[in-house]
Amino acid sequence: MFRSAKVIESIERHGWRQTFFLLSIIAFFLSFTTSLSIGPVNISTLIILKSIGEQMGLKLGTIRTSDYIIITQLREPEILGAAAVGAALGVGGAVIQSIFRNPISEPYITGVSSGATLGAVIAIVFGITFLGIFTLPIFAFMFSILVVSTVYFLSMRKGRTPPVVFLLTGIAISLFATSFVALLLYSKPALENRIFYWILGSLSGISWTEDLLVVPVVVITSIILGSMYKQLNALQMGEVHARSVGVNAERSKIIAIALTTVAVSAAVSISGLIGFVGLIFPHVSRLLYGGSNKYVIPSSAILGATFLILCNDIAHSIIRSEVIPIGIITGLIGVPFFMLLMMKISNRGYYSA
Amino acid sequence: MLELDEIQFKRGNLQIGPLNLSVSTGEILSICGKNGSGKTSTLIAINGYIPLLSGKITVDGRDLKSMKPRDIARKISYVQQEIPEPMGFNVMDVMEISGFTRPGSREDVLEALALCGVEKFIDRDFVTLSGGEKRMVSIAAGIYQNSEYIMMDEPTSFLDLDKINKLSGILKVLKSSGKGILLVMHDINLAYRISDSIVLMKEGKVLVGGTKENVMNIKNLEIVYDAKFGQYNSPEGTRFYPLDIDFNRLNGFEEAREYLQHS
Repeated sequence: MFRSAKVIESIERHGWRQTFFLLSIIAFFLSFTTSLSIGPVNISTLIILKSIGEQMGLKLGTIRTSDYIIITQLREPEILGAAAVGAALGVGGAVIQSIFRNPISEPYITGVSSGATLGAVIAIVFGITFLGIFTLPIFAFMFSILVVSTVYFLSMRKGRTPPVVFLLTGIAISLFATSFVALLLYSKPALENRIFYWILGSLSGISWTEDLLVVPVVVITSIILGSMYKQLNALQMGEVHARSVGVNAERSKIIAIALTTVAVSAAVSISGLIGFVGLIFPHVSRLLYGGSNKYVIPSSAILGATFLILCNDIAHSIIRSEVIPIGIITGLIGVPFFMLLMMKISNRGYYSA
Repeated sequence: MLELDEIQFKRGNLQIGPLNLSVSTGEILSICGKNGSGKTSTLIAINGYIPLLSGKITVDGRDLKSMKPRDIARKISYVQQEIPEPMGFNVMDVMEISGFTRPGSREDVLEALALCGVEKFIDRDFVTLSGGEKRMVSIAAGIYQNSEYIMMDEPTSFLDLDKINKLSGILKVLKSSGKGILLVMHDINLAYRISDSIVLMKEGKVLVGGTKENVMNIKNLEIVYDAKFGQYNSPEGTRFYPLDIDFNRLNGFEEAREYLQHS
């Protein structure tokens, strides 16, 4: 009797998780499609569905060419970009928090953001353009990787990178890179505006070409990181514990950090700095599903993506025919939402202990 | 056999070794000694987190250095003294982590938890358990790993009297099922009751090791702990106890401080 009750209870619990996950996927697709109607030109949902059908090779009726181009060439790549950036930040946050066993860390802490900013600012200030319109994202990406690698090698102690040393080195090197940014800004005050916008983060104007480069990177790294959930869970218990249960702690750590860095750098290179997502959605996911990365990683991806799509909509809607930098919206909308959620369900488990 | 062969390593400023000791399957070996004598460091060195300066650690004749982490985990599990505070893991999650090399069902997990009397907590958030409950879950996780050898660092810490008795039973079950058990113990009388062999460590070195009857006597204990010891023989066996100062005899603050300065 006792045992069967337990089994039923277990099914109910897992069923609840699955239902919730399914709901968040539906929310993601709903926000994706409805967001296509948001912008300076009003386009009805019917036309959106028709255009999506046409892209998939279905003839569902006539659509105005201008509408079709707005949907497929302007709005779709931007929304897809928003989703990719949100997912990369969400997954990155979950991974970094697990590795550093630190609830207040986020993917930028390893130097990704300051490195990307430095790269972008160098490209802007020195007027480097030899890579065409991709100069800025490529510079941001390369410098981001460079800075994180520097942090990694500087925190190496006898073939290991102790989390505390890594975190402190990350913060110190980030500050160092940021000082260079400040110096460059100081030397060319005329460019402040452009750099300021980059730092605030913006998704407008993301093209299919950028998506083709970034989306596969984010999808592949997220799938690999999601499949490493057992190793990441073990690392969250500490490196000695991870070793004792059979995890190659240092190797898992370097793989996870490298994948996260590539994904987040790629994302940041097309969006600029967008805060909050990487810190908060892993926590939201833990509040919803419990702490195992088996759920936290996929959920952070979906929630991060959905959240950025919605923030992008708001960025488009507040002032007509103008887009507010999305980094402003994520904080203004995200923080009250998160505080509300914390109040609602933080009376149990880890968050109350 | 788990064997430490002339191993030497450094932890902080403490030079440890050369150490020799071995644990066989079906045997309980306890390491005792003062705080900072290198007991925990020895376990961490076996875990591989502290690199050896010389010597080697073998299990069934194979050098741990040549083994993959997975294969080592199938041979040796390690219940640490510190209990981690993972973000939001429930007890099941904690147990599954120890099942990294041996995927098992919820029933298998429940069995290991039930041995330690904590099966009712399987869906509880780990960090909300009491210290003793967390300790029992960590021990259950070490058992669930199903390795041939199991190391436990201060398994009695955080446990109440009832759970310490339970621990003796658990260790007996493990020993009888053929596990080799390596313990770090502060409770010398418990160590004396349950162990086959005892190793006394002092300042990073083995002072004396061997069968418990040969090792445990007042002379050795006094050297290891730098304190006076007494013993009495009860019907349950010999008990050792430190001859501490009489609390009530020390007359006030000055005399107590005087005593501390000279001890």
